[in-house]
Amino acid sequence: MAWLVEMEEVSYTYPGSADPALDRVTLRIPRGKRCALLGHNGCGKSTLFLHLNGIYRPDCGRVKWGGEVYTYGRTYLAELRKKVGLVFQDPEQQLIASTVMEDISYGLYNAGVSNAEAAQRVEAALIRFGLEELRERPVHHLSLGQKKQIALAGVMILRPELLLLDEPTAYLDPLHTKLLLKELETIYQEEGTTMLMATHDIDLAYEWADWIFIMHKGRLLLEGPPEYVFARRDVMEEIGLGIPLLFDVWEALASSSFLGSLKRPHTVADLRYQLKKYLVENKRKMG
Amino acid sequence: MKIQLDTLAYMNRLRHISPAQKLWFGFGLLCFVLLAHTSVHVTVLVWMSVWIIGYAGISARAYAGMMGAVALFLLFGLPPLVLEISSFPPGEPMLFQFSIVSWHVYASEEGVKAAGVLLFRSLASVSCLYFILLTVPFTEMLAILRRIGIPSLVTDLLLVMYRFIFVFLETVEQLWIAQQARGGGHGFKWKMRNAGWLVTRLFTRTMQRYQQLSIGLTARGFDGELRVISVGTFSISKRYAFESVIGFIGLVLLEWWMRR
Repeated sequence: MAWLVEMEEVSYTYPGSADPALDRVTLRIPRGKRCALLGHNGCGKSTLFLHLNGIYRPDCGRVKWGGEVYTYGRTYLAELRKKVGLVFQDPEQQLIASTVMEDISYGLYNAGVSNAEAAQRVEAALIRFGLEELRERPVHHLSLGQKKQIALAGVMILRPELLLLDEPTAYLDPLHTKLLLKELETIYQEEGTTMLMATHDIDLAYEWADWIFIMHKGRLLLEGPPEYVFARRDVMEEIGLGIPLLFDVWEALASSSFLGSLKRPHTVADLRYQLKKYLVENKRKMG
Repeated sequence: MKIQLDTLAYMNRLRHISPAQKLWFGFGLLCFVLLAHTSVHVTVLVWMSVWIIGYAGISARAYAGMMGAVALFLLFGLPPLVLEISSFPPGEPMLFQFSIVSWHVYASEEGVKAAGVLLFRSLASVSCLYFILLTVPFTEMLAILRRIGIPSLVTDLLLVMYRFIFVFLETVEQLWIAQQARGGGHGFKWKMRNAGWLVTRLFTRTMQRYQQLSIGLTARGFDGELRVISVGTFSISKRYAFESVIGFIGLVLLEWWMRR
């Protein structure tokens, strides 16, 4: 597997804090995959993100991009931040300009894009994210869902190679969560962006991700495909994260040994499809 | 949390008209008002109200409220201009007078006239200012400031301050609601103590916000200057340009006729 970013034995302690926020974390992000970073509040997810885009430097250990160690020079960091897009949990943290259009254009100017091209790309992004109507609206007149969308649009306009999403569904209602996930799916299909989403929603992670990281108290406990990670019940139960409902349901069905050969479903729709297929096939066999 | 003036500026019907046109009109008229006579002031006041209520579609109630606040303020300022106190009997035409011991309190005709002139001049200038504030949103003023070459340090600061006014107000509101929801009591003492807590919490929250914003900005590639696209979908309205020019000429003629 090709790794986009690798962290090797990274430790970081906040100034004035006794416990390390990251404790010898070794983690590799596979290129072109949707990854979920699972863990409780305060387990070091956000700190890890800020290491990935070079805002924090590890106390010890190192971070590599495509095999090359981060150098933290001025121009290097500017380049890095174009490649790593970060969507914060609280959109208020990253929206800076006062109208939607201005804010989306902000990253482009930092990336040194010309005026004409910037205008063009902002226009395209507004259409792409369905924000045309909000174009000249001031940011403080928008709802949380809209602010999150603008934050995402403002990051995606730079076409980052790695998209970091810090609890993107926090405070969103089911409808807006669905819309956001659809948006991410489109981005993934169209741009093939590698994504890393921090969350504590295990069901969401199971449904969405191809690759799972489990963090606890600043340490990385597990990494790998969902089937492998969630099969480690001992670890998952011990740290109290639990097992995705669908994973559990499937285990229950499979242990009754009549579904053994089927592919494990990741969504409810998938489960329904598998069961239907199974029933049809078995009827044929029996009939 | 919204500020009425700000919200109205984004919602008004003249929003699509070039901010430069509106600013020229507003400031042009404002300068003229400062030179002109009372009859011109009254005309400007009426005309501006037509622009604000009629053309920009600001609700008459909101406008009356804003003008009322200014008028009230002015009225409180007038008595010192009108009333005079002296120990000599007044030697000029006056409206009324009364004496207390050896002092004479009176309102001279001159004083009343001066007060009237001042009142209308102020109201007319304020209506011009309101026209600008109600039809040109802050972001567009900022764009103009950038265009006329105000240093980016100043415009960046204004931008961040403007953005933070709303974040700040929202935080105040949240904290205040939380205090109320958690069973806030009554009475002066309680209010004072809670205001104290609110300010302390507000300070720490503001510092947190500041740190978060600087991380947020860095993540988006901040390099010492905030550059954003300037929205450019405005048009110069010929109809309004025509009315403003004709009206302005009319006002100049009126002023000239008054001075004759």
